[in-house]
Amino acid sequence: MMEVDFKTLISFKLGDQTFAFDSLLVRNILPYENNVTKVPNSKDFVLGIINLHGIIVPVTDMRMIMDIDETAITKDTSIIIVSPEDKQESQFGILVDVVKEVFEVKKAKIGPSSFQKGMGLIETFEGTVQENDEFIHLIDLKHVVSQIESKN
Amino acid sequence: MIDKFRAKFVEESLDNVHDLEEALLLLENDKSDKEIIERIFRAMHSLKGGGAMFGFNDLSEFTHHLETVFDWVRNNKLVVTDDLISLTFNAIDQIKHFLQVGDLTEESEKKDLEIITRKVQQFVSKPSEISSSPEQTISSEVKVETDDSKSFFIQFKPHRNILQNGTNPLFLLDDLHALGEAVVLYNGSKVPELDQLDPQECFIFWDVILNTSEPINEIQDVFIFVEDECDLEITEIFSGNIIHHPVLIDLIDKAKKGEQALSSNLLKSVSWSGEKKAGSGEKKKAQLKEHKISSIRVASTKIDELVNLVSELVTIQAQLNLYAENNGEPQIISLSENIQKLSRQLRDNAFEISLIPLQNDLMRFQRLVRDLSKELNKEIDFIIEGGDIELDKNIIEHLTDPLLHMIRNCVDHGIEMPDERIKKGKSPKGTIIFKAYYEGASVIIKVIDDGKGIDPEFILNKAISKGLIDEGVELTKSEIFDLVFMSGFSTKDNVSDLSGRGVGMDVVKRKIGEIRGEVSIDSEPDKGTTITLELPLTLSIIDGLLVTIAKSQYVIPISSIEKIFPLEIEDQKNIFNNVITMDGEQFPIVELRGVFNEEKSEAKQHIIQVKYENKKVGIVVDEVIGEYQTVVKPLGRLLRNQDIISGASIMGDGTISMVVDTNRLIHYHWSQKLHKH
Repeated sequence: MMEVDFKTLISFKLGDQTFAFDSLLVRNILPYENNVTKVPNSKDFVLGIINLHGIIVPVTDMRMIMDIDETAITKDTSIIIVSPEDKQESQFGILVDVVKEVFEVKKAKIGPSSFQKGMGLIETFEGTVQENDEFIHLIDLKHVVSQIESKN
Repeated sequence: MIDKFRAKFVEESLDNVHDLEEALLLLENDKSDKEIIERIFRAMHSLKGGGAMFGFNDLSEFTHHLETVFDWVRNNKLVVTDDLISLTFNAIDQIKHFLQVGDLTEESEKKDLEIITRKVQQFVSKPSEISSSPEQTISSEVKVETDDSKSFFIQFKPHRNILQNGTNPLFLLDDLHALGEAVVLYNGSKVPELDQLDPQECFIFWDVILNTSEPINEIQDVFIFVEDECDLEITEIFSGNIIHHPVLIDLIDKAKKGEQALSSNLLKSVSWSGEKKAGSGEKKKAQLKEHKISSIRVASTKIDELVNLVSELVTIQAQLNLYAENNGEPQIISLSENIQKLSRQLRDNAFEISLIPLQNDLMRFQRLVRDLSKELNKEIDFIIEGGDIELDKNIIEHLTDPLLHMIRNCVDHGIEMPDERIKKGKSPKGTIIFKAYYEGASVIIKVIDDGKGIDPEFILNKAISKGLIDEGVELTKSEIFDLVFMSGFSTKDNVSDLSGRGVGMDVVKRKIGEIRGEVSIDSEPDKGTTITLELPLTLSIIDGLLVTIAKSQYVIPISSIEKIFPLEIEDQKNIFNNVITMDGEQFPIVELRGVFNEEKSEAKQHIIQVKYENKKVGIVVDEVIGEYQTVVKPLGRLLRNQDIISGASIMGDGTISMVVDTNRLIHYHWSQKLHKH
């Protein structure tokens, strides 16, 4: 029964803010090495595609999705590969500034989102959690996926 | 475990049902064909047997009644009527239902079953509809006589020294077996006592009864090298197969016991006639057996896996190739080239395995046309050409629904009622032609009907009234018909005024688009409509031409390429209104840099001339790198709406190149232009 009370999250930074989503959906974390191939005529938030062990995976830019100002690429800039459904074809990458950590949080500790409105494509946040004096905003990846797909 | 067997049974039974439907459709055309009736009976019999074994009791019991009916039919106790065929079709649907759900549990279903069972039983309870067609019995006998095999008696007595030059008499006997069915009797009566036996000499001789359709000199040829070392007697004893004749078996028995040796005179004196039938039946069975072994059933997942592995191999091979070229070591280069050849063959082979003929699907279409036309009281001939065309199974899976929809449209709305057709001066019987053929690396499927057709004027007006296009736009006829595929063009509420044609065509277009195919319509009012599908042969591996545009690499499928021209800087000035003259030909061009929103190039470029519909169109790229065998991988779900790029391919060095769908590219580019004004 224990695991029901906990949620495992992965947190990352975009600019000064910290966000997180369900870590069970993460398949891989890669450093951004300028190896993304641009796909012509794709939406702004699609950076391109990468070769992940022989599989083609599209990569999106989380800053573009959320309408956050671009920060410079550093050695911390990373691509989180997620698989919202348990299918290879649903995999995609998310470019973030810094990947912070994977942590567990009691479900009871997740409060309603402190954001009153959405950011960019994201209309609502799942909630906000306070961890070590930091506010982390929870993103529902499935919501992001459906938003992206409706814009495509 | 049992579940596994049940699944297997269901799978095999579906084949049986399929066979049954096919045979039934044939029977409808020729109601007295004995062979077909036999085939139907056999299929039912195996359904019944298997059903009982794997716990499909309702299925087994139900099929038993059906089988009884067809047992009557094959014994000429019952004549095949339209009613019987219709009922049997219904019964087949019932059988399919059984295969899906197993034994029935719901009351309403049970009642339905009872009704149809009773109907089936009525056929056999009707006392006498005894077929009195003597020609049928005659025809079955005539068939037996077409068997042109002959039976020979061969007495082969090798000389004692035959072994000394290395001849092995047993090989000769094997050769005889290869000619046909043979019974070999060894005769050891000359074998001496052990102390006098010289192991280097041959004391045995053989009597052979051979049934073959080869001429006698083929038999003589077997012994051509030992002619001088044996006594050979070859006699034709009967023109037909006597090997399973009881008299012969009796004789062989006697010979084995040493009571009476076989001889040509003895065999000739027997009257064998009347035994041909058994012989030829046996032969048919033998053929059937051979046929079965010639193909095996493999789970489709295994084939997918094979194709995947081969795809990986092709990718790795490209890496090896690159390495070999960069290092220039002759031995590695030649090894890499050999592997390339092999992997190419392997690729083609694996690819061929994953192809399945359209045939399997056609049955459903035939059934659909039959059922629907009966229901609507229309008379329709459904003609199939090129059913043996093979396609990737993934493509076929995507194809069935759109095709069903198209054919349903034809029957439902395309073909007119018989009296209406007569008024128009057409034959009361409508025709739907389903035609499939290869064209280059594509498969073309056409569904042609001779029904009422579509009026382009009507489509144009409707598109304008729906606001899909602006008034006054000049469109060619084929562009007008293309409007039918626009989503929002056809909705349910205008089924009647467009006579339903084109309803759901946007869905068809989308489905076909998913497998990188193209759809087009051509029609002539009151003459009929032709819908054409152009499909790729495969989805996964293609031969492509590697090109670059603004530092990115792209692959253009070789199958669509006609010619490649260099485009010098001074030639670029000759481009006028996107048309260029090259080699005495004038053709429109599409600049990929423009389509991909890159800056105009200042350097020398290349024009790749491709086929687009029936035109030639030039695609301008920066550089042409060379031919490249590539595995097309999907871009992922996020980019599935990407039209122009049909996939991506991983190069030898791990970088990615994108595969351009030239048809879509040109279509997209031109339709963009169309929207601009």
